[in-house]
Amino acid sequence: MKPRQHMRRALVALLGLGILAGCLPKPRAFQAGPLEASRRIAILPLSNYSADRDVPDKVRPMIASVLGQRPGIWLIDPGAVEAALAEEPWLLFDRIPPDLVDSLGTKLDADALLVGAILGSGFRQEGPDQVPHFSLSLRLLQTPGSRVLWSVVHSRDGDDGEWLFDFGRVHNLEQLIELTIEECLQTFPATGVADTVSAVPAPGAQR
Amino acid sequence: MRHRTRHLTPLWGVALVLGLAVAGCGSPVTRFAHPEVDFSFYETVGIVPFESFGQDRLAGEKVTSVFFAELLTQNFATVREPGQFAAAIQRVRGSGTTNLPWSAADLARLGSEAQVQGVFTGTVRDYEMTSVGRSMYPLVSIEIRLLDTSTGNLVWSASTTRRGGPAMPFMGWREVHTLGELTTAVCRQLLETVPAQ
Repeated sequence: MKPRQHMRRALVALLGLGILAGCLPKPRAFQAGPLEASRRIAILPLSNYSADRDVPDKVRPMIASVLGQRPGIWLIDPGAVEAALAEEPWLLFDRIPPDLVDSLGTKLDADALLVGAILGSGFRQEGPDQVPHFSLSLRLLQTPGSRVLWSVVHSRDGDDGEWLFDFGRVHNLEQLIELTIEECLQTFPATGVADTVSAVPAPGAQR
Repeated sequence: MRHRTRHLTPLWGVALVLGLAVAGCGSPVTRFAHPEVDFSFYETVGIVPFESFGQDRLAGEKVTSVFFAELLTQNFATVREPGQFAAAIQRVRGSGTTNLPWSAADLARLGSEAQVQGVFTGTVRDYEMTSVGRSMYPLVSIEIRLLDTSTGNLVWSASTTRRGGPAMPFMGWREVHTLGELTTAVCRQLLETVPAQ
């Protein structure tokens, strides 16, 4: 085979792969602008609109683990969040009244609350196979004031990345959830802090 | 002549494939926009949680969540945060009655309470996975309306029904698998019919 033919075939293959890669669903995100230098964020329990009752408990730590790695983000201790919520019983966590947002912000000394909902989670039938799917919406609300700083909605299916004979298919729901969360948080606004120091500051620490 | 036919055949093939792809992309949108309305008037809007007539009673909440995110990305107007807006709805109507039709008087009160000029309401007619051959694909049918809070008038509405699955019938290319992804695409398609501000 001539070198020119080789090159042509390689280009066609690359183009094909490029088209397939471009077909992956992308998160739909809104950013009000870059965040301040650092942010103390409380992750609230997610509303669950899926049939899987346990999924919010799985998703929340996964979000914390990805978000906590971002420079300039300090996550508030989940225990403190639970204690604050116990004082202010509220069930619809993706629709929190502004007075509750403000009061949680004050109690937790938080700059922002991360709220959201699991819109779908489970498996669908694809011929003889069970293919996982997951759908998530998240919002970052400024405290006080409930201003939306960031919002994202994203849905993924195990077959999204499949390009040939099962290659690229995600079979595992947990893996798909991780992938969805990572892709969502790639659209999270930057804080302007370069280093990856994102531990929870000690009580009374300078901010 | 024979030489010419040999060159046209692949072109016709490409045209056919592209035609099928384009045909698979669109679903008809039924749309109304009030001809005398200046849409730049709607600087701040709110979204009343959509009602659901489908089998999934939570479909309204799911679609509202997606629509909120999509409305923000479109920069149509300032959108009241759902929690803030729900609190205003509760002050006007009490709890648990958001799905009843809105009277002009209630809308005016809501507009004043939430400081919005327009309110989006919506109906989810279908939101389910349907069987196509041996596979399951999403089906979404939505109608969304924009109401003027000062007059109670309908100023814009759009509706469509769309099924997921492959864009081309013989390949899995650009398949939409999930209800979430299809809902996002439908909300975007409907919002594109709002007259430019």
